[in-house]
Amino acid sequence: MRRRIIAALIFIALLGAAGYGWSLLRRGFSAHDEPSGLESLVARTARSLAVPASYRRLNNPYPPTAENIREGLEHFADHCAVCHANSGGGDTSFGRGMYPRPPDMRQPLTQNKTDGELYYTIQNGIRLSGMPAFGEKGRTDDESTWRLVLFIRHLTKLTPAELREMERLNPKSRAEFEQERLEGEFLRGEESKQPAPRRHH
Amino acid sequence: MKRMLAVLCLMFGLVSVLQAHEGMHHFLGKVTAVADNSITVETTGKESKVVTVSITPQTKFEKDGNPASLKDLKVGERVVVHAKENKDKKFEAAVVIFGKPASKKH
Repeated sequence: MRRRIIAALIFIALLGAAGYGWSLLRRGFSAHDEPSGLESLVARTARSLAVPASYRRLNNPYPPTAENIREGLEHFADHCAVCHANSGGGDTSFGRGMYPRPPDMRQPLTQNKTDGELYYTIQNGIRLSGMPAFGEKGRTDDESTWRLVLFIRHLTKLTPAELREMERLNPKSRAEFEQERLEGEFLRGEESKQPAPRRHH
Repeated sequence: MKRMLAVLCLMFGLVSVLQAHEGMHHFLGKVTAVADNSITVETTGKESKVVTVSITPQTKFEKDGNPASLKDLKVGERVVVHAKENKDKKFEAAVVIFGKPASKKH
């Protein structure tokens, strides 16, 4: 009797897995979709459980001084904002095209994580997402990562002036530099070098 | 097999990058009209044309490198408009820049 119950449970589990696999294949692998509520819950729970307790307990060794936050801001604007946006809201052309989308880091789902969890995520990335591992494996004293953690805490208090400053710090392509130069010349009245309106990516 | 996987990864990566980028139009010209929800710009240069760009709640205004508003913009002023084309093929201003250009750190 017991064997039959176990066999039935295994059969149901296999049937469920096959059904999920079939739906996955039918849905395709487009990144346009949003993960389902169940998928998000399972992924978040698994991710949270996968953070080693030794990391989860870590506290940021760097105090939230203006200088430390400023360094975190500069680093974030240069490396992270392309996907996460300067505001941390994740509304960027790269972010909108990812599966899953980058979270709004100002919200409790991110802000309620411990310093150690945030540190671990930056250092080790998140498998099967757009988040790469930026740090050295096993290292717990990466200064720039801890300053990024400080800045992530600061996202909820970001001022318009800081946002403008970040826009100036965001990486730019040669075409964007050129566009900025031409726009500056135009605004200063140097029309001779001003090109026809154009479009770029 | 490894090569095939690498090529597939590269293709997926390339496609996602292309999809992620969104076209942004840049208009440089003089303001010919300012309305509550749009501005009209006569672009300068060889391909001069008159373009009307919608103003949305998300539109940012920048005068002399500082935040500004639509009220600060006057007819005849030199302006740079970064705009997106919406689904109806109409331009929506993302950023409207006028006055002296902001000093850049880069």
